[in-house]
Amino acid sequence: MYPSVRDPALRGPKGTGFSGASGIRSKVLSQNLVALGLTSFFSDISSEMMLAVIPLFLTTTLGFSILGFGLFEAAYQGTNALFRVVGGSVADRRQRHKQTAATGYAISALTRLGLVASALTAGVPAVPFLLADRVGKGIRTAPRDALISLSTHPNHLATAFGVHRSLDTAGAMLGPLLAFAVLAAAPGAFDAVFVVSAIAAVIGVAIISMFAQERTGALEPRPSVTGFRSQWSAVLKTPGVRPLIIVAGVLSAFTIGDAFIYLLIQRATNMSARFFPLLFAGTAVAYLLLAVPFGRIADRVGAAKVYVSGHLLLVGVYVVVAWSGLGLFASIAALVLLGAYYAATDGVVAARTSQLVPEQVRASGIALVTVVIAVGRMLSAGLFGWLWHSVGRSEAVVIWLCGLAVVLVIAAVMVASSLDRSDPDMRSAK
Amino acid sequence: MNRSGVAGIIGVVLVLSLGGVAYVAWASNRVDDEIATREARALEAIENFSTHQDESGPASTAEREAGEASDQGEAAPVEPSPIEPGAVVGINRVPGDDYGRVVVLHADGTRQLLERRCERLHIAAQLGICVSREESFGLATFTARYLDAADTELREVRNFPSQLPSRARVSPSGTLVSTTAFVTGTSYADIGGEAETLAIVDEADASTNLRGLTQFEVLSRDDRYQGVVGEYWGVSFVDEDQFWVTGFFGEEPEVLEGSVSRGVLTPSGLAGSCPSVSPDGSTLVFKRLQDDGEGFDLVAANLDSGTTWLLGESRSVDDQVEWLDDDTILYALHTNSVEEGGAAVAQPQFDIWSLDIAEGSEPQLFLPAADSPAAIRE
Repeated sequence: MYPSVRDPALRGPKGTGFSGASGIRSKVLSQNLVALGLTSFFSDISSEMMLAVIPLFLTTTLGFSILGFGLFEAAYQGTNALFRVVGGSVADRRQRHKQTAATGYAISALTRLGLVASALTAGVPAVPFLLADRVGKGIRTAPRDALISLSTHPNHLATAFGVHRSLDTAGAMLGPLLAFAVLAAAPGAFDAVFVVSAIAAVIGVAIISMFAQERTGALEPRPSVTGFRSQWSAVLKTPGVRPLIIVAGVLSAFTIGDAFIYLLIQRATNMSARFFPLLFAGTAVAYLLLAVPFGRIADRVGAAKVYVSGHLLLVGVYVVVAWSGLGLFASIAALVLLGAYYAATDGVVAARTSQLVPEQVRASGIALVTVVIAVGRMLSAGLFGWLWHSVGRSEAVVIWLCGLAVVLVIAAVMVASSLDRSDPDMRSAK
Repeated sequence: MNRSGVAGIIGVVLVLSLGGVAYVAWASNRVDDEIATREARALEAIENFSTHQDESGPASTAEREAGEASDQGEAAPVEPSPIEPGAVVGINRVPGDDYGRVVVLHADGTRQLLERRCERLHIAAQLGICVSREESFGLATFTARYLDAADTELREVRNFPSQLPSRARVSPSGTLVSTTAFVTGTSYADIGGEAETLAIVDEADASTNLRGLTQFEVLSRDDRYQGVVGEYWGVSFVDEDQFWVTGFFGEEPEVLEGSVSRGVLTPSGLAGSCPSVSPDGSTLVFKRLQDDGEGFDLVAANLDSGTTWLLGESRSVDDQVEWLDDDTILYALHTNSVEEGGAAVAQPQFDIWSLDIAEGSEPQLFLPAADSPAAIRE
């Protein structure tokens, strides 16, 4: 039913450079995974170095107020979510995942030129280019994840996503460092940051264009699902998808976003705002080191189980944040737990979705689940911010902790009864 | 993944990376050039100002001679002279290598640069407070340093870690110090939103006894002070105990009176921020948000009669003013207006202006290319 990993088509032309490797490495590290991982590495360098300077750029150079910045943030996230759905849908309909993802990467790369122009010329606004960047990011995310899943044996999906997320996070860590290095060499020269960011983005586009291959249709010809509505109903009718969406949505509705966790730590430790990037780096290190191990566990015991129990790590974060004085060690523990939580959930839920959703609507399915999670987190952030303001910091965390615990119990029951069972792979169906 | 493809992509990466390095080098050069141009312009402005003062001002012979002496002084650096009463100390804002150095305008009109660098500075009696910035790899750290004002180079006495500084004050006899720093955010325009400030007071001669103003008790039964932790910034000392400060409790900034020894704050009923009390304690000058919500007006309040009036400065002043004497204030303004990008560029430029507090007075340029003024008194 699924193509064998020994099928040369899975490994790219001429047997690939990985044919010599043995064991799990050769099964997981397909050419597409390596190409997409490196593409994400470079484009994350590109986008994170841009994002690291954007608040400064918008507020100092373009005179944005904080309120304006808040509105911009909302538009920015909204654009991303909307185009994620569009990207997934288009890629499935045309059965062109690589092409759609590459287009998304190319759009983001092009926006850097606009930002360079905006930094050099007072008359060129930056905001349209920033929104266009999110259009590109939205479009590419689901087709890229779908392509990873289509290039990997179902037994190794979570590990493959772990590898991809590790490379992605490594880029995300390097980006801000590079931005600060550029600004140290040329103070105030935002154009130089955007030029370097453009270069990283172009490298990413070059890698996906040259090395990634379409992985659809040829393997298992089926009539592709064409209509927009029939596409979504195909996703939703797949056994196991609705429970997954419900569980993911409800769990993420009790997820305090990382920005809030950093803010909680910063408030508790009175850390200078300048050191904020260090908090991010602490989480990223844990994430990038643990993504592959958690992926392997998920491949062994079932992705849904790991996804749901990964939220126990988030419970750990809440406990540390709510009841410790958040000294140095407690803060580090919270950051590491947060990184581990991302490692146990982010790629794993993509893997689980990939296991469930048929190939013709794979990208749409991934888009749907990730958008549900994003919307859940946005709601959670809004509510949590309001609670923090009205009842206080620790109390708000405790309320979220209780909510998450209740939801987790329900999710655990659902997992035990159904979530891992509709797996097409016989292994977890027992 | 064939070999030529891999070699090709490595080639592309190398070429593009070199291009990036070249662009950053070019940008770095360009920034240096821009700063050199602005430095030349600022030095020219200082030159023009002193010539203009000599021609039109009622400058005495002594001042003129001092001006000439300072020209020679620039050619061959001289030992700094002691900072004596009548001098005004500030921070040099001529772009370039001297940006951020302490500048002394001696009573005889000589402009002199010290080695010490600060972001914000104040001096009274024998004590100076200097919040300085140290930077490595784009990460800035800030240190509050206590300075010996009797030393010609403002020797450091001791220091403690600080954050992005905005206000600093020493009490008239030099026994208390207060600094305000941004814990988050960078602008007072964002107070109540993202920005959060920390105002502290310290007994200068004790071993560090830092107290945040949030630990002070607000003496008022008014509802708006109950159950809220205020934000405080911009302390101005009346004497070695009493002070004025800005408080924010969720609506708009207001001026409060405080006592260090009693640890209390009393609302004054004045709406505004960054108060500064005159040396004789009779007048308070503070900032008030303009009706359009964009900039700040300077307002004076007579503390005996309670009358308030608008000062004769039409430009927006975002500074805690300093008193030159009981009738004249000093404050810094961007050299280029904010609309022209005065706030955006690296090494932003400021000038110190003086203004008589009588209604209808016109501001005068007092010290070009400097900010953070502190008048040295007897």
